[in-house]
Amino acid sequence: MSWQDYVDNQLLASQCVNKACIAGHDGNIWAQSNGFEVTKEELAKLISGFDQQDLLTSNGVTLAGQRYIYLSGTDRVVRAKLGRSGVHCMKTTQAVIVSIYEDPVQPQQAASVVEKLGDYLITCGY
Amino acid sequence: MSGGTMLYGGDEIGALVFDPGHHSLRVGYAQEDSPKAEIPSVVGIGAKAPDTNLDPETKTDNSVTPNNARKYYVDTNYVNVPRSQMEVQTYMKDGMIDNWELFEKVIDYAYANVIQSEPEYHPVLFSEASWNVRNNREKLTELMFEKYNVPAFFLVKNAVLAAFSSGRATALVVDSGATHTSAVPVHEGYVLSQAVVKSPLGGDFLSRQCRQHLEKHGIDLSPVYKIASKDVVKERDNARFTLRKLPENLTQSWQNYMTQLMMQDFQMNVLQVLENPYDERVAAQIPMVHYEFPNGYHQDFGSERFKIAESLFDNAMLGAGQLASTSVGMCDADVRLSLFGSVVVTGGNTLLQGFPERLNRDLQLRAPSNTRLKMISANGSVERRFGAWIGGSILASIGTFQQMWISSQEYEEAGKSQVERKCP
Repeated sequence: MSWQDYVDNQLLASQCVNKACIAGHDGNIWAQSNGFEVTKEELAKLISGFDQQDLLTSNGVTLAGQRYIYLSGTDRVVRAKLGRSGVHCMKTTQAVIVSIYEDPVQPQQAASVVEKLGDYLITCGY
Repeated sequence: MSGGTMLYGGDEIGALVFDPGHHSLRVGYAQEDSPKAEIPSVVGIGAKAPDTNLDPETKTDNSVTPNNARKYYVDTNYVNVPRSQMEVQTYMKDGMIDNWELFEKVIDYAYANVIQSEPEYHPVLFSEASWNVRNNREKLTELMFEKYNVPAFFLVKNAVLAAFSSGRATALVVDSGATHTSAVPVHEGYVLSQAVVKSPLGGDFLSRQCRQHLEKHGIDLSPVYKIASKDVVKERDNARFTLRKLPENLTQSWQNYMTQLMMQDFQMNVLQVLENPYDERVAAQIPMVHYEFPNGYHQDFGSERFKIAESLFDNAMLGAGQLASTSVGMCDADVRLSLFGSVVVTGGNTLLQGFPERLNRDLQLRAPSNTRLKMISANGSVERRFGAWIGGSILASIGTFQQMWISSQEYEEAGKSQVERKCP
């Protein structure tokens, strides 16, 4: 499966994720969904935030120009929200899965889908 | 979607809400406006002794050799009775469940005596501390599904529930309870966990201060269980009472517990907080409050009422107002305004007379000059003591929440780590 397949047929097809992108740890975009204009700089900032949460708490998470408010996270997961839509990101061995969900999807639904895919990628070595 | 194996018959959700705290465990049914039971968060542990009689009040643990079974005493009716060699121990630590063995005994008691129904018929909603750790959450999930076979389970931070009970999804929740006072910002129903600030100054701290103060003034603190009869004495005269005949070997932990209960009564009735920082002259002008101790001694209390309560607010780093403003300062700049605009005051310790007014004043001083500060503190004592429980009751009854439970099927498929995903 190509990375674009993962984005379209695994993440978006679940109906629990509205926009998604898979990138490497350096911010290089491997695949992104249609219309999701996230930049390499935004991803790089997000990725460094996994290890240093303070970067995200004060400035939030900015994706595709939209600034979300950081909620919580661990060294594997980052959660952010703005109104009814939000961000759920998961870091795997070599990549980062970034997902955006909007009303009426609940954060838990997006979380389940993203983390299931993330765990699978980790078992594959990615 | 989850919950495929469950039938939700419209109004009959039948969910249970558990709200464990340091002072008590609140337990009851969702959709009701107050818990059915408030069980103190302590368990009386009897000495190891062979017992062959059928004591209806005891719950023995499941040991292979019944001769060594220890008796456990749960709830006020059993713990407050003087018993030889009964130790009193709490199962909570730092806001989280610490002693799982004792906790199970209390849950067994709750199901048997309060709910009076099998655990497998009711979805269960638990509250947790806003700083709860992953291990504890997974352990609780595992316990509920494996031991009690609950059909569905969910875990929510108690700050979120307190905000819900005030009808808000975004709020700065200031929770002052028995062991902690904490300021937790909640945004759209989710805790901003990096900005949670807590201090160990709570109701128990005040009780200790009261006890120290009274002992320093030489007032005899004999709790109720020691008193057989007492005489009427004039104010500030030494008490005259006769001692009750008590069993031998009453443990120190139990005696301390009973004294603490007495201090809590004193604290609730006598202490008050001034709206402005403590000033001897202002305090002296306020009418005194009269209080009678169980042994018959009675006197008026004046400025010391305010001095003791002041310790919650005057600490430079741990004062309640400081906690709240530090917490907001650690949040994203965009949310600060909305947080100041909804400050929810909850927790039993906030029933201290004058607490919300003083907190309002302290926050007003520390907030940026033109912010609109709004505090929400429920008027009734029930709403404030049981704020988190009531929020849980509301949440578990909402239609849109029913799809969010972790069902037993999901637990079997994904394991206990599902709680990390579904209950952020």
